[in-house]
This record gives sequence, structure tokens and C-alpha cells, in this order.
Amino acid sequence: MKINKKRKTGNKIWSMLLSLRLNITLLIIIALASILGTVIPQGDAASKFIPHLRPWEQNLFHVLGLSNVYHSTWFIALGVILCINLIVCSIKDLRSSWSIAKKKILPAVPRNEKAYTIVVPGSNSADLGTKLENILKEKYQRVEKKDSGGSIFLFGEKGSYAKFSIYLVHLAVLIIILGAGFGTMFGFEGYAEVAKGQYFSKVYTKDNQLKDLGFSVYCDDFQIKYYKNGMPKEYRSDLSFLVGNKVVKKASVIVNHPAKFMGIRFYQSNYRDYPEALMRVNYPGGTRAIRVREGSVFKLQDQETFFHVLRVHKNLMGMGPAVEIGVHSSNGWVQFFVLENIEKLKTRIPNLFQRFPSLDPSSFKPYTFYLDGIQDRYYTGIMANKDPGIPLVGLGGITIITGLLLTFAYPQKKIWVSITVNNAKGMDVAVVARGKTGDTNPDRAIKELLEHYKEGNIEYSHT
Amino acid sequence: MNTVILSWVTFIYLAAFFISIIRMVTGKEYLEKITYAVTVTGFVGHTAGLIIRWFESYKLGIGHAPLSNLYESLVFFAWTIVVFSLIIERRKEAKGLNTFVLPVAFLFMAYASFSPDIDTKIQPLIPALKSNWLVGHVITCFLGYAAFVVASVFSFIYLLKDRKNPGRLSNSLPAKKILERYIYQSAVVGYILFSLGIITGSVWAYYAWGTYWGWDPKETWALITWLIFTAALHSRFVGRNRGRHLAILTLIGLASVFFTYLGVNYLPGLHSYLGS
Repeated sequence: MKINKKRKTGNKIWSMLLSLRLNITLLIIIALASILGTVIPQGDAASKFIPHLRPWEQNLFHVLGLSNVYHSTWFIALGVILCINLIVCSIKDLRSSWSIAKKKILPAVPRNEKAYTIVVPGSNSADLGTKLENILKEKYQRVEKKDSGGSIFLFGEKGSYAKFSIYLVHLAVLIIILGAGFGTMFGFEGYAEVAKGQYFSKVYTKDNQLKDLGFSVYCDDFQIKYYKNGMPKEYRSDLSFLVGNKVVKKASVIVNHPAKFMGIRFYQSNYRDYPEALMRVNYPGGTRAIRVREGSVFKLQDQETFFHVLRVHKNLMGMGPAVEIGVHSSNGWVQFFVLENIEKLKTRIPNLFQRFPSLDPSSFKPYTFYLDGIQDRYYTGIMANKDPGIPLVGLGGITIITGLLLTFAYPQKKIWVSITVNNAKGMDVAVVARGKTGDTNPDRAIKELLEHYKEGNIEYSHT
Repeated sequence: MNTVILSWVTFIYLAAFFISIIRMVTGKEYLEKITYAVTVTGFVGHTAGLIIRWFESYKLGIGHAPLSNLYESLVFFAWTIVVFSLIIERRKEAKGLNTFVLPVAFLFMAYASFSPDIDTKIQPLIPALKSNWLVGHVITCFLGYAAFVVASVFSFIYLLKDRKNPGRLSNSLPAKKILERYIYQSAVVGYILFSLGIITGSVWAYYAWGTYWGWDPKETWALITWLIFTAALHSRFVGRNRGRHLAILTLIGLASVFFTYLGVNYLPGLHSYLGS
């Protein structure tokens, strides 16, 4: 390759990018960086862990993006440099391989390979050369012969096109990285929890944003099956997909068997059981039944008053099931318990509400709360993913394996033979061979021919 | 039944190892054939043990390939190592190398069969493992691991011979040049199989977890292993001391293989089935 000498610094950077040393260094640095993310808590785990750090450590965490190593700027930058190095190295290498394959030049004899040398009697190098050429032609796809005043040089090569498959492997790596980037940019990963008889039309993405699916998903059923020994056997969510109010598709989603609807795949991710409280509220002019769980927020008549379900207790200090309610209104904050067994407690303990005002279910006037019971309710965790990068990544995966198999399983070998007439002794013959996986043996037929020649049996012919 | 056969197999491999040591020390060539015969016997028993275990799981009504927990993976790992050991044994140039491969298979079998921490019972498959990808993923990964183990054994011998004063014993072992070729060949075989393992794993993850790559510790460590072996295979084209670099990187790769296989269980993640 011609290099412009005027641009010296450019050259330095260029030759550094070209080097295989940089490639190996990058591979090792990326490997080391990847270890970081497996020992430092990532994502949600990191947010629990960071507050325990000293201020400067917290700063370091934020600056280096250590709570999300694999998506941090420096990690991605390393990947980008690796890609550039891969492209540049491959193009440079491809050029020289191409010109060799196009028969423009012969590859030089490798210096560090040990040659098989033999001295044979006679001086008819042309005859020996022709015989060797015939052997080579049988075994090698491409054979070149050069005759320069008695000295004969032969070159044989097989599988010369197979070596191009290594570029297929490099290309595949780039395709996979491209596909991954494409998927991150244009796809999403969402999550929703839904109980039997409920539906969802929005999912939470990884960065806690709500994403509208454009249709709704109704949970017909959620079931867990167990083996005899108590181990879980199957988690299954029966889902209906609705556009408008019409059921368009029904599907059972089990682990390893997702369902697909409108380009989005739905996966059985996990499940959770939440204790759910069945409550009633009485107020002047009406009564209402509600089902709530921890974290629920609801409104009754007044739009400015928010009722928060703070805790659902299956057994509050031996008094039975209870729900802790907090009310946020224009008059401030009121917090109290609603107990299922409140009537019994009232008869057992005189002046209960005077002694423990927070046990009064009428703490927030004019509402009176009643707890009818607490039930466990199963919520199935459904992942909803869309990844437009999949075709690219899949193509890359297939290409990488094809390329690797072609590169390493297809026989590739080069052989160099030189015959020099040395009048005093006869002819000096040197053979250097180089196979893909380090096979440096000259072919047996060549050795046999030369050994026969040495013994003076020049009429020996290879069959 | 299967666990009894498999624990016997452990001792057959130990015997083959001892016989090959005696061959190495005394130089008696006929012992080589005996080593081979004993190893084959162990291998037949080993294969039978795995097949019987498979049948027994069906009898229990929870039929699945014996590739689902730590015990089964160790036994299968040893099996794949012996597959490679038998291939090497057929090569004349590689004479004596098997003596170093056999004890690895023995150690895996011994750990699987006799460690009190390992449950040898056949367990049903948890929902996450119920996939057709299980067999393909586990087989390619472990064949890859085994080829890496073999490459590492050769690397170890290479470095042993690469010292200033290589011991007397190392003289009876193949030349460095041959060793280098064997390290490279095994690493290449391992690399292709392990790449297939990662790809089948990605496809499986796509169906099971919704994403083909989630930076789960096991996935990440598989990538680290892959990167190290990528570097090792490229190191052949850089610098003068090619064999030594290849051998050192292969041994680092082996450490990463073991961390990928066992170490990650101590990190939180999705691949935690092996813990039990």
C-alpha cells in the first residue's frame, strides 16, 4: 500500500489502526472491562448499592457509568474502535490476499518455517521440475513455475479462496454489532404485571417509561403447575389480544414459548402474588366496594382527595387482617388502620378508639371503611419486546459459523519448491510447506520422488 | 443404577492414567495399547451410564436428556474430554499427551461422583430448561470447553518444555513445534464449537427470556472466554514468540472457561440452575 509521507501523524494513527497488535490489545481490554460489569452490581442492584459509597466513589460511579457498564460511553467507544480496527485490518489484508489470489504476485517463502532439503544427483533440473510440477498439479489447485537459468522455482496452493472466508467471519461480527445497535435504537423491552381478569395496554420499558402498545392484552388465566416433589413445572398465561374491543388473537404464553402479536413478542417472565384487600366504604349517599393492594391509590367523591393503600397486613400484631390507609386532602394527611375484626375488638377492649385513635376506620370523615377480607392474587409478569435488529443478528450468527467452518475446516496449503543446480554435488532441492492449521509437512509423493532420485532411480515416476 | 456405573467409570479412567504413566516412565510400548483399551472400556461404560440415566429419567416420568444439573454437566464434561482424548490417542505425533488429558477427565468424574455437595439424583426440568435448544446448547458448549481443556493441557506441556532447563520427562514428549500445532488445532475446534454454543444459547435466550443477549453474568463470561480465545488465535500472527503467547493466552482462556462454567454461580443471574 502506498503511503503519503507528508501526513506523518496521520500515518502513525493509520498504521496503529492497521495493526493486529491493537486488535489483540482491544480484545483483552474489552474482556477485562466486561468483567467489571459482572462484579459491580448493575442497574437496579446498583441503585441500592450506590448510597453506601463515599461521595468520591459515587462520583466515579456516575462519571464512568459503572452502574451500567455495557452501555457506558467508554465501553461503546472501545467497541467502535474495535470495529474500525477490524474493518481497516480486513481491507488491508484483503487487498494483498486478493492480488495473490489473482495471480499477480507469488507469496514470499516464509522465513521461519523449516525447509525440507535434499541433494539429488544429476543436473537435469528441467526434467525434475516437470515431474514435481505434475505432482503438484494433482494435489494443488494453482501451480506456478519459474525457470531462471537452470534454477527452478515451483509454487503450489490449494484452498486459496477458502482464506477469504475469514473476512466473512469479520463481516459477520460487524453485522451482529450493527444489528444489536439497530435493535437498541428502534426496539424496546417492556414489562407488565397483570392478574386474571385484568388487561394492560401499556408496558414499562427499562428506563421506567410507559409505552403504549396500541392494543390491549387481556389475561384470561394464569396457572402454575407443580411436579410431585414441589418443583415448578409450568407457568402459563392465557392471553387475548384486543384491538378496539375486539379479540383478534388468543394465545397461551409459557416459558420458552412466547406469543407474537403485531410485531411484538410476549414472554412469560415471572409471577408475583400480592395480598389484595376486599374493602367497602360507606359515605353519606352511598356505599362502594373496592379491591386494593399495596401501592394502590384511589379517589372517591372528591377529586382532590387521594386515598393511598400504604400496607396490607395479613395479621397486624395479632389482631388479624388489616389495611393501612393514608389520605391526602386539602386538610392535610390522615393515616389509619382498617381491621377486619374491628367489631370483635371494640367489644373486647373498651374505649378502643380513644386509646388507639389510629384504629378508627372513620378517621377521615365522612367515610367509614370496612375490610371484608384479604386474598392472595397472582399477577403474571409479561415481557413485551420488539427488536427490529433480529434479522441482522441472525444473519450474522449464521455467517460467523459458515465463515469459521470454511476458514478452518477447508484444507488450505501452500508449498514452495526450489531446485538449484550445484554442479559439484548435483541439485539442491528445498521444500517449504505451510498448511492452515500448522501442517508443515511436504506431501509424501514429493518426498518419495526426491528420495528415489537421491538413490539414483531417476526413472521413478509417481503413479 | 447409572450413578453406580458412572462411579466405576471414574476408577477405570484412573487406571488408564496410571498405566499411561508407567508407559511414560518405563517406555514400554505395549502399555500404550493397554492404556487405549482401558480408556475405551471406560468410555463405553461412561456412554452407557449416560444413556441409562436418560432412560431412567423417562421411567420416573420426567424424561429429559442428562444435561440439566451440576452432576449431569460434570459427567458430560468428562465424557467430551474423553472423546477428544481418544482422538488424540490415534495420532502418532501426539504420543504421551494423553497422560495429561486423562487425569482431567478422572477429576471431573471423581468430583461429580464423590463430592458431598453434589446431588446425583435425577431431577425434573424447571420451566426455563424445557426447550429443544437445551441439548444443542449444552452439547456444543461442553464440546467447546473440552477442546479448550485439551488445548490448555498442551499449552501447559509447551510451557514446561519452554523453560531453560526442561526436565528429563519432557524430553519424551513431542517437540514444541508439534505441540504448538496441537494447541492451535484444539483451540480452533474449541472456538468453532464454543461459538456455536454461544449462538445456540442466544437463540434459546431469545425464546425464553425475550432477548438474545442480556449481559447476564454467564453470557458475559462466555463472551470474555470467546474474546480471550479470539486474541489467542490472532496472537499467531504477531511477534516472535508465537507458541508461547498462544500457550499463555490459552491457559488464561481456560481460567475463564472455568469461571464461565462454575464461578458465575456465585454471581447473581439467570443461569443459576447449576447451584442446586
